[in-house]
Amino acid sequence: MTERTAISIRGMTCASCAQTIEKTLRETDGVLDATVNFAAEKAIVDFDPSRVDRKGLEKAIKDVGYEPVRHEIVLKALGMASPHCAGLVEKALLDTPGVLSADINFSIETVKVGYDPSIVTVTQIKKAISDAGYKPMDVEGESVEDREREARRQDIRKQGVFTASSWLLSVPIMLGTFREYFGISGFTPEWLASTYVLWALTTPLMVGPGAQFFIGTYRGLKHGYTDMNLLIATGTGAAYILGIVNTLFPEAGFGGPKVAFFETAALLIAFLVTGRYLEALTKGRTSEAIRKLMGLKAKTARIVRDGQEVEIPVDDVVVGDFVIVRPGEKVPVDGMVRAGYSAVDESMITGESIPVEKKIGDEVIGATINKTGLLKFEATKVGKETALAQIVKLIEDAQAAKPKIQRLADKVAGRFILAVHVLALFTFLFWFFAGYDAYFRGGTFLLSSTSLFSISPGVFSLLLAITVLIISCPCAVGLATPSAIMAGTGKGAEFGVLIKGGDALERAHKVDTIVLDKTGTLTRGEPSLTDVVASDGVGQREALHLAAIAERGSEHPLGEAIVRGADSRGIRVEDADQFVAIPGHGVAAEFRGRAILLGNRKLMRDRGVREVETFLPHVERLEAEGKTAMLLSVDGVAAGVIAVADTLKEHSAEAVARLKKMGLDVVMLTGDNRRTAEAIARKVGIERVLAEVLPEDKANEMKRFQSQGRIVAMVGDGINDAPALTQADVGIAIGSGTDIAKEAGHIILVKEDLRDIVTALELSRKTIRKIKQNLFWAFIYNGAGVPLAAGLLYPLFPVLVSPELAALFMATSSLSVTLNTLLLKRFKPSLLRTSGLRRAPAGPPPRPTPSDGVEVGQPLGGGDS
Amino acid sequence: MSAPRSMTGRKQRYVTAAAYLGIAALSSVLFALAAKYRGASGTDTYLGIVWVFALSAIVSASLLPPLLGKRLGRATS
Repeated sequence: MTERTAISIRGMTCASCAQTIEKTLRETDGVLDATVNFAAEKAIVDFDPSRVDRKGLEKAIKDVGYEPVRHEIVLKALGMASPHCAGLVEKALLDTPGVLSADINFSIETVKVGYDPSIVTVTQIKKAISDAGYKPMDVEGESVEDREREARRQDIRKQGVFTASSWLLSVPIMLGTFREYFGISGFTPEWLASTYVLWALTTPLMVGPGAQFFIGTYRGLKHGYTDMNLLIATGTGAAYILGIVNTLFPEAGFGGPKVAFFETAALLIAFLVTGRYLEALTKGRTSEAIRKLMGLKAKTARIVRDGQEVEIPVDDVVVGDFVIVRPGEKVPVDGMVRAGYSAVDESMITGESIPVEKKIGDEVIGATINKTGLLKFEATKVGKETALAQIVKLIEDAQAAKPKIQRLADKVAGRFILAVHVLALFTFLFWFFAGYDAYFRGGTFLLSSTSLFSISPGVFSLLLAITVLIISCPCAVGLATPSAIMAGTGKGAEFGVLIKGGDALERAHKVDTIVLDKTGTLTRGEPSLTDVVASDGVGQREALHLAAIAERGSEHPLGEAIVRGADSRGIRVEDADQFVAIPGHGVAAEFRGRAILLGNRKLMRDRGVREVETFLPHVERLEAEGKTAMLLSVDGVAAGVIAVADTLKEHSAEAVARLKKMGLDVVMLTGDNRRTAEAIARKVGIERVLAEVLPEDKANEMKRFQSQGRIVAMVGDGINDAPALTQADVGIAIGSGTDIAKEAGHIILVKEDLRDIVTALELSRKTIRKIKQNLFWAFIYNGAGVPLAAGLLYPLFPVLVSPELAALFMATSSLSVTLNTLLLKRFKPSLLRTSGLRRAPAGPPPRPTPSDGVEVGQPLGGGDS
Repeated sequence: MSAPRSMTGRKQRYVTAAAYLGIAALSSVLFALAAKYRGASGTDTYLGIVWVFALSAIVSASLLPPLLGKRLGRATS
């Protein structure tokens, strides 16, 4: 049996930290797979619960020096009066699967429970307390999201203090070191230039802000891992030690008393800590979307229990509870409306900016906002099952999963650190034994007081080796992909486009063929009234009225479509006095003495209806358009034609036009007959139609496209299209509403708007472009920086990159990658929504508009088309 | 049939540490000899010895454990 858990982790400072944790977890007995995302600060672990538990996983993370953030809740356990009671509660809690720790304080009757939310819910924890004989009660406490936010804030604050103190100490160190260089001796006291003073100022920098690099190095080396901290620690440590040696033994030959190297150590730390501070500030912003989503969850719910309205914590709501939501309030959980009518703002879940109409029988989604009327609904999904919880989980998983491009970048970054040490060693040896004698001709380091004229071969070679170590930190390489994926998937969620991981993003940007399922994807998936043709004597409105009366007793979907069509036009549909269904032919009814027949040609012929031929051209034309046309007769005389068809969704044609403009080959796939399929394809603007394809053959059609070398995306409703969605390079499940987790497909569109396909593809293209840009700049930086730092150009130009300048470059590269990623936050879909109040998906279809193909022989009246 | 024997984790760590410290020491000695041959100053030579030892230790400490771990595991099982 395999279980999966997500663990938030504090203390990661670079991508190699994530690799260290990932490696440690994978080596832990019982762990089947582990992925750690540095940008998301989360580990997703698949493990065998019979061999290792969550505590074991947390311990493994702690052992390599990082801090797992645990879900904790503080509850009151009323009735505890002694240590014995505390023992009982503790045992009851610890015996509950998923509970990791229980700290009991019986004197104030509180319990602090650490738990794994993927195994146990707060309700189950409370039940364990009440089963032990005590009364659980909520205490205002922090959620894990609050604590993660606090941890992030603490990290930003800590790096902020480090940055401020680093510069506060570095400025006098620089003034003292450069006193004789830039004419600053006038306002810089002489004592500040003393190497002892510089040493005194540098030491707090090394043990304060700089300590994090040495601690990180120690943790890594203790477990046999090398990371970027090691590069920094080696560089700054060497400069600092060299400074001390030069201070204590100025005649030792390391450049003399005027070359202290303390400013090298100080500036290195100041730049690197500033880089980390800015990175902490910006890193949080790439994962803003998911935090916003998590923050949407309602805290309480008003439910009806024993006939009374009571307000309870949202975690205590159970399936079947009747929930009341007043205007302006948040819908606490998912459910089905049982009473009331309102408009609900679902923008936070679906991205749809227009409030959606809700009435009895419609689904409501937790975390959405009730705008206008009172709603009473029955809770159908709570806790982990709600749409919001599923969306958050899906995005978390997506952000933690590593696409191929990231795995490659991580591998390169991992090997890079070792390679850099080898390179630093060779740089030292080359300049020590050969380079110095052959090429040394004085000059200076850029951004350093070190004059090369007074420097020995050993120190010269050492400074070059330190510069190589500092400039090579592959922080930017490690950040390039995860930060862009986090921003991309988060941005998608804002528009109701859920992308299941970086691989889906990677494949989506390569798509050249898009296959659209017809029923339920391009069309609404249920028949609607499309055309009413009537004789002059009866009129369209009356013809529809009579047809609806005849069909009122029918349970046939076509009949229901006619009744719905009449209803939506404000026509009152009375019960027929008599009604007979004639299977395969139509219906016959009597209403206020008038005999009504509605059905096919054969029914009309069999019943001897007159003047049928007048309407036959209309029937043929409508059938050619793929519609089902029914003849209407009143008192034995043909009175009109009523046509019903599956209608196009509002934005299908617009979306198809856009997809074609993007250079994609758009294909329609359907099990329907060719004539109907081609009629729909014509309307929507698709030239290529694959009709009469059985559901089981849809996947084969995907294979056929793939065998032609095409990268194919299949768009379907995710139910009968599941095999095709899975087979396609990118499966896009559309209109999933609240049932997100069950959907097949790599990309899920929360609402039934085909324009979101365009949004998904545009977003994937933008994100992948961003990843490539990031990787390009990160590698260019390292590729160009390392040879420069190793002194490759020194024989041509007598200037060198100093370790301080290398630190500045390094901090800039990480920051530029993060800032470049943040530009994704400005992404806006090219197709913006302009529709009015949207009907709920579960409700009746909207009125047909002229674009739906309703023939307007004469107005139906009342402004109807 | 006897149960497979394997070297304990601690012993393996000692062997690995001895191996990479040995390599680092050997590198430093080679450096010192080369520096002496080239006529480098005493200070530069000491500086180089420390630096070469540190970097060689870091590189071999990263490379050796997985290599030795496999070999020692195989040899003693």
